[in-house]
Amino acid sequence: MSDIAKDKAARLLKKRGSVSSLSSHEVRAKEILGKNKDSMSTVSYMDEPGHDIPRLAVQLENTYQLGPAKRFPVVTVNNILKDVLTNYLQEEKYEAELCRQMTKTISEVIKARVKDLMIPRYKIIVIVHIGQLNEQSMRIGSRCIWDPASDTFSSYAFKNTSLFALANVYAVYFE
Amino acid sequence: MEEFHPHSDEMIFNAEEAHNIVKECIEGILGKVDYNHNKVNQWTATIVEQSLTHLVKLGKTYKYIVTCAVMQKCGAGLHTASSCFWDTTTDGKFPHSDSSKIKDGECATCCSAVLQIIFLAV
Repeated sequence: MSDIAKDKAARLLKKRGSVSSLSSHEVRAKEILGKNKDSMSTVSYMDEPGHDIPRLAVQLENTYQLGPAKRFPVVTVNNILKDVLTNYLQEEKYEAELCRQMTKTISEVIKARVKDLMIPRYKIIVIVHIGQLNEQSMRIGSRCIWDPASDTFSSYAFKNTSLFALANVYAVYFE
Repeated sequence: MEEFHPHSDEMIFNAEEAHNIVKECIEGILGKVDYNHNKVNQWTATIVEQSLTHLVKLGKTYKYIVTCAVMQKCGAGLHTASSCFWDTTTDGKFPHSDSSKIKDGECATCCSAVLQIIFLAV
């Protein structure tokens, strides 16, 4: 009787594809307690052939996916960057306090808009630089170690009479 | 079915090592030079590539993004902010701060460089 209960509990575990971090023994114990209260009346599915050995709960299952299902749309994101930077900074003059807040706000706004595109399994990094135009020269460069087949970036530079702004978005596929 | 459990020392990013890499790269290349518009392109590229090589030599299973800004000192201000959508348990950036006080490498009296490293778990 208890063996059958244990089997059913193990199958419940697998059916739910549990992502819990409890060890399998603890989870099974909980299930068994619940089962004993309800006796045998909660069974509602057929036995699966070939799954007689109860397995440990897996945290992540294989997706058997080799690359991204939906690629990162670089052009759309370029337009988002252009939009956001122009709207926020067209009329602004460089002021230390304002630009400090502005960089944080702009990076949050860009991240929110890129997240709205709902590209699955991509990690997003947004970096915004805002600086004063003062007859000085500057160079900003970046290099990445990643998988060029699935990962990409998007960049836009904006300039008005008193300040310049650079926004970079890096999208890294998470396998 | 085997589960892949990466060793804990491979997955934790060492802040001190990263700090050393950043310092070495910036001071090594820009330590004694004056700002030169023709060479700044080459400097940025070298700093970033060198820091990437050092990071890869650490041998950890991470993807890296390194950004470097080199600027001529003219009293102009620069603000940088970043916003990231990642797994906070395994990913991060160095230097770790949310103000605009990033590691500032000084070189002679004419330019300053800021190097930022982002690491993402594979």
